[in-house]
Amino acid sequence: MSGTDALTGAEGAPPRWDALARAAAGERGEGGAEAAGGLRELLAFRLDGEPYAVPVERVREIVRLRPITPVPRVPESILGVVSLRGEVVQVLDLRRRLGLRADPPGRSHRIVVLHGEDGATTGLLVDAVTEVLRIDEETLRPPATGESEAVAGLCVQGERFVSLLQLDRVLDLDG
Amino acid sequence: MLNLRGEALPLRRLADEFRIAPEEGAEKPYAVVVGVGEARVGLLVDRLHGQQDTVIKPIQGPVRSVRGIAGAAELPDQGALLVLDVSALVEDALRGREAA
Repeated sequence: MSGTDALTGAEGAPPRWDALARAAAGERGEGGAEAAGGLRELLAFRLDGEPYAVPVERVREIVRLRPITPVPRVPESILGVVSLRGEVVQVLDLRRRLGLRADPPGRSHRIVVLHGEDGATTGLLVDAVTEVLRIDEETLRPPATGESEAVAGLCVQGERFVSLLQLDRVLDLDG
Repeated sequence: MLNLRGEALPLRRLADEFRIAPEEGAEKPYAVVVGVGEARVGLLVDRLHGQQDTVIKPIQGPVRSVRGIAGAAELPDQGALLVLDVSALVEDALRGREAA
């Protein structure tokens, strides 16, 4: 999907968020307007057929799947570690973490690498990365009752609800 | 326990320590003798791959530390390789022995 290639950029290079956001705005006829207060950019991806998202500023890069070395004595949702441009980073199976059924990785799977302070850089395994969403914070709705604690809110995209993840809770594996 | 040149060497199967399923069709294991100070332990492994100088890198992520793992090394074309924390493994092996 061309959107995915644009997001990945050259292998290993950080994605061009500003260009993507401008393109998204342009498609909706908003021209070159600057982001008003309350506008947020989210990276959307798919898990088990459903859309989820994380704030764009938390994302360092997106990479294709690569060999994952399993690590003993870690929670089951940690698949292992990958080598990432000179660093060794844990990969979290987001499906498992959110209680969704497991799925063998395929060609569209990606690792979304999150910034971390103090050695906390983490990779999230997702089924596919779909797009950058530009949303008005006021349109965010609270999660549905019974929704996983990891969901901070829902953002409406046409007929779909995109689940915005609460990353601090997702990455707190003791909870 | 193994008799190594007249000394008793406690053995620990690394797969058991880490709860890893044993390799199918494994041949006789190797005992890698590691030590800290005077203490010696033989770690049983399935296969030896060789010897290499490498840089130990910290493992980043939500899990801050793993008992028995010191970090990881990067191998070209092979991804990450886990580096064991010998002091911790020896300590755990000897403490386990005293408790038994």
